[in-house]
Amino acid sequence: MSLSPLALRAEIAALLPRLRRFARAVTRHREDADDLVQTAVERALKHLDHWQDGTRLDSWLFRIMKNAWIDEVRARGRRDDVLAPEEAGEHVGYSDTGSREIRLSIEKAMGRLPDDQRMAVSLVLVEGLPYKEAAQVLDIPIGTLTSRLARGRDALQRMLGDGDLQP
Amino acid sequence: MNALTEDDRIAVMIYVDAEMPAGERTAFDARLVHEPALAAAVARERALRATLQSAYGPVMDEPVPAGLLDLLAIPDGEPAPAAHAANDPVAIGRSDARRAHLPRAQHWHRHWQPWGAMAACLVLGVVFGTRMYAPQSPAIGGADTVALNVRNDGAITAQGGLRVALEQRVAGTVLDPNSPITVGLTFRNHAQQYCRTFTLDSASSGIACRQSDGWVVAHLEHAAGTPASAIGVYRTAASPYSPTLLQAIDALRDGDTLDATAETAAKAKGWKP
Repeated sequence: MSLSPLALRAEIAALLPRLRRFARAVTRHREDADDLVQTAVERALKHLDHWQDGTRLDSWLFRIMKNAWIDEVRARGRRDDVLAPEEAGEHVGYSDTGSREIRLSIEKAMGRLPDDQRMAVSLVLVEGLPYKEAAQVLDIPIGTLTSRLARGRDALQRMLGDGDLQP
Repeated sequence: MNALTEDDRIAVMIYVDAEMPAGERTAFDARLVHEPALAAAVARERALRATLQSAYGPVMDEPVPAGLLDLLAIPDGEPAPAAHAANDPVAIGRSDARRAHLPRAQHWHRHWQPWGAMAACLVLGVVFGTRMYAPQSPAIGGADTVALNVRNDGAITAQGGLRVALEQRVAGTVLDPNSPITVGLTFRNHAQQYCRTFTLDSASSGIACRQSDGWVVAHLEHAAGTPASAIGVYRTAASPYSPTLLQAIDALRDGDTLDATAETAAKAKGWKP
């Protein structure tokens, strides 16, 4: 079944909450996140005919967002200065047992991951994409995705302190 | 400190991510029973997943900024589907009936413009979007539309596409005229909560009121026994109100319905009383 442009718009609108969630993880900033969603939606609307029936619309939009973010980071140039998570380290603390387990809020911990690992973790663990979809979003082979996921997870577990996670 | 081999760490990951082939999964399940370190690693990864989801989950409930929604609104000039023809005699008849119920017609009038503010309402969620991430809890709704959930206390709450529509839709924009979900009138109940009428599909409609924890359904009705094809004729987007629904509105409402400006203002305040 082919979707009309109107139906596609409605679908994209329905996806906005998820796009914003992914953008929040990618950009680590609320305002940047909505700017990114806006850029991606504008691009998507301009190229609605590029979306292929039978493929996932959410994956297509995530991929547009990923590319838009890469462009944005390039454009800013001073990425580390501008986009380093605020107050990194401020919330580093000690667990009750006195060991030097670093306990960061999950968002701060995510913010410390490299972009590529953070996107992989976000797509699979938060957005629930299958590996195949996530790999396509990121334009990487599944093996690369798997290794980014593994590294990202290890880093998160370390930062959050093993056994210290509150679901 | 990590007792697991690299292969096992990857196995744990793909197991938790539901990427392990079914055959391997059975064998892995068996190992979990006998290998506490492996089981602990699985539990840790599951906890990480849950933590991430709860950390980012609240973004889903935030109101979507109007600027983003505006990008996807459909311009006024867009042709409406023929099924919702402007001069549907049934719709016009209903319109008169409704004015008798609700005297201050000026606020209502716009709802009866064919593909005016009422019909041309912002319809979100709907079949396609919710299908991609349907919640796991039991739900009532159309075939593909997750719209209603029964809470533990028995209250019915709006979910999925319906919740998004109730939360986001204000007069004057439209996203998908073909969507079964519409939001119609907004008014305050005696507790000063905002209530909104909605249709789930051609046969189901109701009223939901915004409580602190979401939209709780105050009235729900289903036109049972009528063939769907016939309902489609009578219950177009321009005539979604049955006499019983109108009675329910009258019983609930305290004061007039909101006009477009008031709706926008109420939405901006997150529908808080």
